[in-house]
Amino acid sequence: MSGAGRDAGPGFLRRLLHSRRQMNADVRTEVRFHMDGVVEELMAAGWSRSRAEREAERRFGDPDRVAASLRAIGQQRLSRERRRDRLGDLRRDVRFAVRSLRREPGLALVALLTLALGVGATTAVFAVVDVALLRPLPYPEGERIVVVRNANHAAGVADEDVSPPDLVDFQRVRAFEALAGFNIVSVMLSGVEQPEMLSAGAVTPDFFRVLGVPPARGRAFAPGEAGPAAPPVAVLGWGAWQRHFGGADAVVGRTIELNGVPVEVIGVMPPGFDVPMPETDVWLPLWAANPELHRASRYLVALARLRPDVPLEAAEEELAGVAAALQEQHPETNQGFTAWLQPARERLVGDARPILLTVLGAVGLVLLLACANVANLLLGRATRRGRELAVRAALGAGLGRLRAQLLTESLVLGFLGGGLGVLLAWAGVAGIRVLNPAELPRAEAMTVDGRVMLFALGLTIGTSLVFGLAPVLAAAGSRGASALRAGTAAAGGGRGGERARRALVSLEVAVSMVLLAGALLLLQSFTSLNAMDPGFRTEGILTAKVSLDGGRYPGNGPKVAYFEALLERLEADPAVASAAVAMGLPLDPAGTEFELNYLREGDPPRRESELPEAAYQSVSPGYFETLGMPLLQGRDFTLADDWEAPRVAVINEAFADHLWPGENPIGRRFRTFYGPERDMTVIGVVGDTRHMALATPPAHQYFVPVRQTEFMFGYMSVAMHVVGNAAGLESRARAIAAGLDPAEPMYGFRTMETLRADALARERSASLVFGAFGLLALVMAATGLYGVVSYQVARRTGEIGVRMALGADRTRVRLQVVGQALGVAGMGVAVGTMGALAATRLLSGMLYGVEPGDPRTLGAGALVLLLVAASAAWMPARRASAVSPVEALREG
Amino acid sequence: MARIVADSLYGTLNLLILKALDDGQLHGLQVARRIQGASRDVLGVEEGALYPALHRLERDGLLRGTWGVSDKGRRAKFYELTAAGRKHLRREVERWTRHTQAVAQVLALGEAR
Repeated sequence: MSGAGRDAGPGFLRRLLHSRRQMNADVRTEVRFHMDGVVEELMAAGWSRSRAEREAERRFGDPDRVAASLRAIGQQRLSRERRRDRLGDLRRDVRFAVRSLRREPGLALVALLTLALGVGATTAVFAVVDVALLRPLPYPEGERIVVVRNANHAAGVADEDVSPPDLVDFQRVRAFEALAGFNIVSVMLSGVEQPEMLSAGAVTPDFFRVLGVPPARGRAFAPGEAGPAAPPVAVLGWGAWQRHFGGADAVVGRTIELNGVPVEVIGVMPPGFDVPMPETDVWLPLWAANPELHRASRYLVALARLRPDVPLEAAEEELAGVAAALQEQHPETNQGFTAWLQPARERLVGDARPILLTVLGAVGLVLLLACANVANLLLGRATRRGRELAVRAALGAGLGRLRAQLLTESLVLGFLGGGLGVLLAWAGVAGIRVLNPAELPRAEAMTVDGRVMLFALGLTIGTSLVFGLAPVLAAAGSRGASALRAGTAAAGGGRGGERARRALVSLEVAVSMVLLAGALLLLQSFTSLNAMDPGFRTEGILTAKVSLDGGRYPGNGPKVAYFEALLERLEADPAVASAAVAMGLPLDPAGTEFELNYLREGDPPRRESELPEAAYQSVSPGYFETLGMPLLQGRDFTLADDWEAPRVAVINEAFADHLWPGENPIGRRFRTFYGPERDMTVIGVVGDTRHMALATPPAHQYFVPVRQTEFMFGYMSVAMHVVGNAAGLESRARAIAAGLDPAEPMYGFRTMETLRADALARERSASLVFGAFGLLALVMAATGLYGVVSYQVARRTGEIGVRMALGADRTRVRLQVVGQALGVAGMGVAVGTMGALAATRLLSGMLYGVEPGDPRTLGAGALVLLLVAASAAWMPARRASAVSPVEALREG
Repeated sequence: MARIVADSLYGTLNLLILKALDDGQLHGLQVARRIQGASRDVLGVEEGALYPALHRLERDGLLRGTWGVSDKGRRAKFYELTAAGRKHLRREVERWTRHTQAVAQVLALGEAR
């Protein structure tokens, strides 16, 4: 670095030529001196001059040859010395930089922390974005993997799964090297001491071929290894293999029992294989060609591997042809259904993409702030050191050396800050991995590795150059006597430089305003969601799952009997006030809820496709009481509302208001079409709940009792209202279920508070991240303002002294300094408000209960910034008013 | 322990030069005479090889060359040991001693047989 200034320009060449000429002359002189010495010796011993000269030459050998070799050696010496000089300069510069940074430890610390935060935050976000958006998927030639989707634009369906029969037909598409479908199921690992629910991928046999990942042990499914003709087989996940079988190789070929059926383990997938989900325990073959499967049941996720060199568009065109043929062949199920493709990465990233890019943009702004801030700090410092630099320039330090030195200081600062930043990023990424937010794709793969380190290095060098340039440019003006005379003033770059610094700080304030506005909006959105009454009790509710085997509990009767027995036993526990089951609990992503067609009594019959829909839940009597949902009218279900009794329903308030506004809904009827047509009599109205998400307004919803449920599910959620001591309830509940039927465990215990917190995970992390960035931005803007105001005060010490000597009072001086700071901040706030109006629109998808450009929020942000600006200016203002006129005049 | 590699003549010359300069600075001719004198004229110095050796040692930072004035009032280049040269000399002397002792032992063994 430091050599650049030295060697540049004609001076270097001149010096080089000079030293080369000098060296040649030296060689000649030295050789001549030797020869003359030898001749003198010989002549003293009595030799004649001519004989002595011949003898001297004989001993020495060819003087020209010797001289040539001496010149060559001298050349090497010179270039080595130059290199050593340069290294020495660098070492000196670094040592000097460290020393001069230690002279102002406060400034160095602030600059270091600023840089560490900027580089650290940016690096951590990059690590996340890199894995989610940039790195190829961890499958061989992952860019060839696409997702096959259905759409029915006439019916307003843009993105739909694929039915198994359609999947079989899509295999005709020649652009697909392989095609597979899968869905997520649960299976019971039975025949062991503690039966356990395993998360399973039901996959068509080509699944592993599509992804291109072979098993780590054993083999994958063979083509056609599904259906009744094939013996039952399974591939284990790495985790399940370790957990249940101790990682023993002998597991391949072993028979395990899944849902009570013996199944042979044929392979184990490598760790980290994460389709359909990161912790898949087992993969089972899915028989898509099963003639019992319905073409209208679209529930498979379909993945295809394109043939090499087949573009996505061509494959899509061919696929569309097949879909069109299916429309004609099967109009009753496929009318209007088209098919389309999406790269697997895009699908995986999904909603996270705009959020990640917004966060990347925000952190980029933070880094920009850090740069501006450090540049400002260094500028202020260069000003204070104006005299030092001028003296050194006067003492003969070249401008190049001075520049190199200032740049070295910046680089030293940059690398120290960058190093700290990498540590911060490492901690941040580790934190992200621990939190493993569901909305981040592939969080488990995030690390600070070589690639990320390289990014951080580039970032460090880049930022060092950006903020390091400011004092170097300023130093250009500090040459010569004028700087010596002017002392502090000239080195700051004069009036133009000062304007530039104020503009820089205005820009900082503007950027802070944008970040602050975003943070405040997200925070408001989160608080209003968090404070939202979901319409049911969230404290003291413990939930769990039971998944009855349809083979052992066929039909409705046995299932209902099981659940009623379970609830009775659970309610006998002293800690349980009441217990209930439902197909799906509110805010529980693992629950089930349907939208079903209905027809209000008295309305004219309509075609099925034109019927309105309402959310349908099957619950046990006591469900509303357990969840604390207020019964507004009528009554709850009882055990008398059974299969033989007239069909009854409890509806929510929203549905009641929609169906019979202003009327008493009790005793009114509506018709349902789930199974046989049924007329449902409304017997009660309950309060609305936020069922799907806190941000989603309550849907039209109706409940039916489990005893009257048309197709009773084996998979139900259990809710227990816990009173008193809940300790040990989970294990007691497990024991109760095991006592009822040891083959049907109760699992997946979670409190309703956890479910609620998880439902807000995205909002929480977004407001946390933006809150942190906003706070950082605020601190940086404050430091920047403080720097600029302090600088101005220092610069104008003399002037202030004169004014005070002439009788200006302290308050006025203070107010003036603060007023100037507010002027700079006000500019920034104005520009930032406009920026925020535009930028916060990016957040609109993440905001609830507040508009992107909300004037109250922007106003609050502006106020906070101005307050911070005023307080940042307060200390220098006090310093200014404490100026003693005498001293100020002497110094000035 | 470092293995002793049989030294070349060139290496020996370097060692002799460094040793000659152990007591203070000398110019090239004085170096040659000091070596001859100390060895009671057993070791002659190839004068054509002396200067390249001096310059190489200077290049490698073991010697420092400065221009001064000789006894007879002429401009001459004087050589002196640098700190690195002094360290190198001590190491080489030890190595040389070990080497010659080992060789002497081997030779004595041959005689005893």
